[in-house]
Amino acid sequence: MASSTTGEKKILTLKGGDNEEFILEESLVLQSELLKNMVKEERVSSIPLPSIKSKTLVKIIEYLKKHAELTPSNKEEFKNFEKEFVNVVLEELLDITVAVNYLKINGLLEFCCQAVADRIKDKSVEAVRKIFRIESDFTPEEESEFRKETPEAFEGDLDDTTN
Amino acid sequence: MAMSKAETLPQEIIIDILSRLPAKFVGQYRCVSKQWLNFLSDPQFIKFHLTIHADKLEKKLIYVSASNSLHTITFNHNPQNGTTDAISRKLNFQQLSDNWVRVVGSCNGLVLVVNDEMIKYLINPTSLNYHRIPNFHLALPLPGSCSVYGLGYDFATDDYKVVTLSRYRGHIDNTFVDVYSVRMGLWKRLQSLPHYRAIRMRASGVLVNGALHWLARKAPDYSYVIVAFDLSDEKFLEVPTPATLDNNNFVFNKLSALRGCLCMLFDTLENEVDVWMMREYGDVESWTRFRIARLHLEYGSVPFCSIGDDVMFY
Repeated sequence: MASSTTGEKKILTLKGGDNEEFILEESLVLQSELLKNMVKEERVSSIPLPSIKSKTLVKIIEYLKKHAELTPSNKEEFKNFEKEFVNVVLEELLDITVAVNYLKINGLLEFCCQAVADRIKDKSVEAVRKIFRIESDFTPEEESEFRKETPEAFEGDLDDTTN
Repeated sequence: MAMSKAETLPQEIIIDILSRLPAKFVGQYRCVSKQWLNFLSDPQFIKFHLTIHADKLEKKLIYVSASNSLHTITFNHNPQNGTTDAISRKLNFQQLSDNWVRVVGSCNGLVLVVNDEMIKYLINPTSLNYHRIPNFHLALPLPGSCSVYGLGYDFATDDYKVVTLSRYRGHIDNTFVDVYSVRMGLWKRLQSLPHYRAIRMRASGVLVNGALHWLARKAPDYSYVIVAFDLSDEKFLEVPTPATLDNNNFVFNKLSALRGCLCMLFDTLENEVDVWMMREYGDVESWTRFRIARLHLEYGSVPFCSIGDDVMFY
């Protein structure tokens, strides 16, 4: 069923993981390849996104709105917005990145991945393991070999608080 | 509180993030886990990393000092006041002594250097890893011969290759072509190159478009030509020179690569360099002539890009 008649702006509802509903213009979500296909092919008016937290969805919708308003004259303003956009705790940034990947918003995905890379560089191997929740699966012998060969890898920023 | 998404990050996202890290962390983060070690050592990943960082690589120069040690120069641009600082660093290899003679090639941040015993080393000036290129049993005896060198990367086989062109002194019309595969650790001799001789015996091969280039003279009239050695199919081709140049009376006696384009250079007396640049590789119509100011740097400085240790000694 079509969400609205032609001529008017089509309205779409996105449902976040905690069942919070977000009502927005359909044209905005066309920046997401995933939602675009759903809207075009299945003509839905409400899309459940249970895997995405509402908090994350709020951020992404904020981005979609700003990006839709982007013109050559407010480029600088948009750049500042982007900088602020990723200025969140790393855990939240990772949530956003995963959601953006799922929604297939390509330009934003690249930007998020770069932002994550900028945040994790300079971290020690131990801190990176904590951030990505990875257990070392090297033997103690291999581990001490690494420490001998690349001591600098273990000397980086130990801060894994991710902000 | 909800769990972090970090552990549910899809593999392709992790790889995307890691490929955006500066090269030095690519090396370091191999210690995170076996999975990351695999990601970060994969030739496909390394190629992707090189592609992403190609335009933002830190540009450096490397040169051999008067005391036969190797030095790099890094340029730091300061956007606040528009100045550029040059920082020089001496490279200290723990097991190698400072008897370097010449830098003879660079590719993807790796540098080929020759010492006073004419032994070639492939070095990574960032990680200080090195690989000694063994002597080839067919190499022409020294003295009595002369050689030029080149270093390049073959995408088809994901291999670095060292190329030497050598000839006996006095025998000007037969050039021997030897190629060393870093991946296999083996030398081989290709069919020799008759009717050509490389000029400027110190000129190293200039890497553009997957091929090494040298200026050469061609029998019988010894006109000047540019020969290109394709690193993948290991064959020589001639590259057309500007149509207006007289190939029997060449002043553009040096090849170089500027912004990825093959260039012929001529040092004018006015502290300028006269440049012919082939803007579209292989297109004789695209040769363009302009002049640039000459920069006074250490003799024999060779530019290389810093990329850390991702590509060397897999």
